[in-house]
Formats: sequence, C-alpha cells, structure tokens
Amino acid sequence: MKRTFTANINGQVFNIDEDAFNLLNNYLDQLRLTFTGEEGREIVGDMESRIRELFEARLSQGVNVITIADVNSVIATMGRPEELNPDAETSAAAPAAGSATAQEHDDASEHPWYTLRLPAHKRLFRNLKNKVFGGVFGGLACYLGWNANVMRLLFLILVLCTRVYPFAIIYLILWMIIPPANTPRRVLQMRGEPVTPGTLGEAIMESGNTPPPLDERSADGNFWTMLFSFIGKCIMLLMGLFCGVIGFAALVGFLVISIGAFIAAITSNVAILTTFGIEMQWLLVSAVICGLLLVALISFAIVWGACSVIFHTPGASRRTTLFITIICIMLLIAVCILAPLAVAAL
Amino acid sequence: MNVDNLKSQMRKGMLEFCVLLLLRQGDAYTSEIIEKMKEAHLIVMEGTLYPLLTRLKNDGLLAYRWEESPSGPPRKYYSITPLGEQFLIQLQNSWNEISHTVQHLLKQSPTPSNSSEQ
Repeated sequence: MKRTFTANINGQVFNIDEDAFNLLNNYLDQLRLTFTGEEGREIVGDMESRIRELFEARLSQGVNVITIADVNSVIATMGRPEELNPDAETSAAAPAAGSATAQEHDDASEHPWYTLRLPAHKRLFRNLKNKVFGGVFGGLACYLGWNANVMRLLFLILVLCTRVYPFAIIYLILWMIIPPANTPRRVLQMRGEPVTPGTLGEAIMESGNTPPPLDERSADGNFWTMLFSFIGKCIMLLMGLFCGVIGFAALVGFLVISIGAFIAAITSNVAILTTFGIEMQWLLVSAVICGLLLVALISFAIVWGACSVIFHTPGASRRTTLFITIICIMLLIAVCILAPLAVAAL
Repeated sequence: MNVDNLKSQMRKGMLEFCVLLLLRQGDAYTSEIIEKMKEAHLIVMEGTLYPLLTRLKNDGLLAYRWEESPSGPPRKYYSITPLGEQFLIQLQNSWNEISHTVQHLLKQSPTPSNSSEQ
C-alpha cells in the first residue's frame, strides 16, 4: 500500500504515488536549476506541459495513478538535466572522464579505516542500515569514511575505561541530536552522492525493498558487525528494564513531591509536607535535581544548535523547540516553588 | 574517437536547421515538432528541443501564439518569422556547399572498400 498525492501539473490534476511525486518534484527542481532566468522559466514551463501530455497519454491507457515507473519513463523521454544542459553538452565527454578518475581517487583514499578530512559534500545522519543502537557510528563512519566497527570498539573501550557514564551519555546525546537518514534524499546526502532524479530514483527503489537491519555491503567483517549487534541488543534489554523500574519510581516520587509542594506553597504551611511522608531534605534534593535538569536541558539545546551549524544537520523542529521550552519553563517553576520551601524548612 | 559521439554531434549541428525547415512547411505546436524530429531520429531526448525552441524564439527567428486545442490546455504554435526565413536561406546555402562537398567525396572514394575495412 502506498500513499498517493494529487499533483497539479499545468492545470491538470493527477493522482500520483508519494515516491513518484518526490522524484518528479526533484526532477523539476533540477530542471529549474539547469535552466535559469526568464528563459529558463519558459523552458521548464514548456517541459511541464509536455509532462502533462505524457501523463495524460498514460491515463488514457486505463491507469489511475502515476507511479514511479511512469515518472522514470518520462525522465528517460525528456532527458536528465545533466544531459540537457546547453553549456555542458559540448564538453560532456571531458568532465565525465575527469569525474571517473576523481571517483577512483576517492575510493582509494577511503580504503584505510580512517581519513582525516571533513567532507563538505556529505551530511551527518544516523545510518539506519548499519546500526547497533541508533546508527550513530554507522552514520559517523559514512560521514568520515572510517570503519564503523573499529570506531565502535574504540568507543566501547573508552566507555569501559571511564566507568560507563560520561561516554554513554555522550552517545545518547548524539543519538538524540543527529537526525536519522530516514528518507532517500537523506540517504544520498549521508553517502555524499549527488541528489539527482536518477540517483534519487535508485535510492527510492532501494528503500522500497525492506532493508536488512545490518548493511551487508558494509566493508567490515560480518562477524564483528553481528557481535556488536548482539552486545547492543543485550544492553538495550538491560537498559530497558533498568529505565522502566527507575522511571516508574521516579514518576511516583515526582507526583507525591509536586502535589505536596503545591499544597504547601498554597497554604504556606511547610509542615503539611510531613503528613505526606516527605522528609524536608527531599525538598532540597528535588529542587537541586530540577535545577540540574534545567541546566542540562539548556546546555543540550545549545550543543544541538552548535552541531546543526558545524555538521550541517537539521536543527530542532518547531515542535521539539516548543517541547523543550515548555519543559524548561516547568522546571523553572518547580525550582522557584521548591527552593524557597526547602530554605524555609531547613 | 567515439562513433556515437560524432554521430550525435552531427545531428546536433543540424537541429536548428531542421526545425526551421520544418516550420517553413507550416506552423506546428511543440509536440508535433517533437514527433517529427523523433521520426527523423534527429533527437533522442525531448528535453533538448525546448531550450532550442526558446532560444530561436528569443533570437527572433521564431514566433509563437497560443491556440485552443479540442482537448487539454491551449497549445503553443510556433511559426517562422521573416528574419528566420532569411536565416534559413543562409543555412541552406551553407548546407548545399557541405552536402555538395560530401557527395563529391563519397563519389570519389569507392564505398565497397570502405565497408570491408570495418
């Protein structure tokens, strides 16, 4: 089953598959980039009306929905933007040969498990096809051209040497900050391949076949990938149980303290808290925890912003920003209520 | 030396000439021009024709008007301008020269030996 969109092409409405829509949209964008200015707008307009004719011919054959195969055949008929570029057509052979050697050079330099260059044409995403937890190292490996399993091993050693917490938290933060490569366009950007209708079409086809959880084409040995995947699953299970128990206890504690603090704040009678069974020092602890969370959240937001600038990852969506802001305000209110109470009580 | 590349270069050089010749026979809308050019194997990809038509129009060799069609949206009918006619005469002279030379050379060189070489 696929989602369909309705697209208005030169005044005619067509039902079109989601992936076909994306491909066509991208194709037209590429055409607009190839043909610029007033003249270009006219050219692309004419081509759009031709696309409409081709689709209408397709519909007259009894087809209801434009699929990606139809869009691909239209692109084959019209020609890819790079083939149509009037300036490039005379020198088409020369750059093709040049880029082939550049590609070879690229492959050769990526052969060792590390390289020391930040690729400007790539963007950092979590690699969902090569992941243990969130695909952070799969994505970093793609971005830097390093070997994912070597990075995982080094990181695991670092985690164990530093008594787990600091680097585990760093991993979690990276997981949250780095967006997943969950669309064909992002997959291409992650690999540093050009986003053209041709490559996008291939990527869409590729993602259509449900991907195996681990990328079989990852150059590293399958044994290591499977080992890390197994360790990952075990840790996930333990973490899940641990977080579930802790989370439930924390939730109950939080509810009791906040109700107690709320009543105490209204009645300005701190002693009432003892009837809830809340020791006075817990007020102080809660206030400190809320304060720490507030600071952590704000610094997290700042780190996120910095990452989106440095690594070209998309920043927080509007909804996430709103969510973080609301949590910050709630924590701030909690600190403002709890801290005076705790000071008064002690 | 790539044969296909050379062939396509030869066709590309003929494109403007052929479009002007085609339109001298009578006005035509874009899809008609495309069909004719495709029949003659002059273009492989339709997309190459749109920039060409727009360029010829902007250079004043072609003009177009919108005409209602019995089905679908209005069509862009291209026609050749007086300037285009003049241009075409020049191209035709040039073509006659080239054609003459090539024909002459073809007659001089015996074709059977040519084909046996390949």
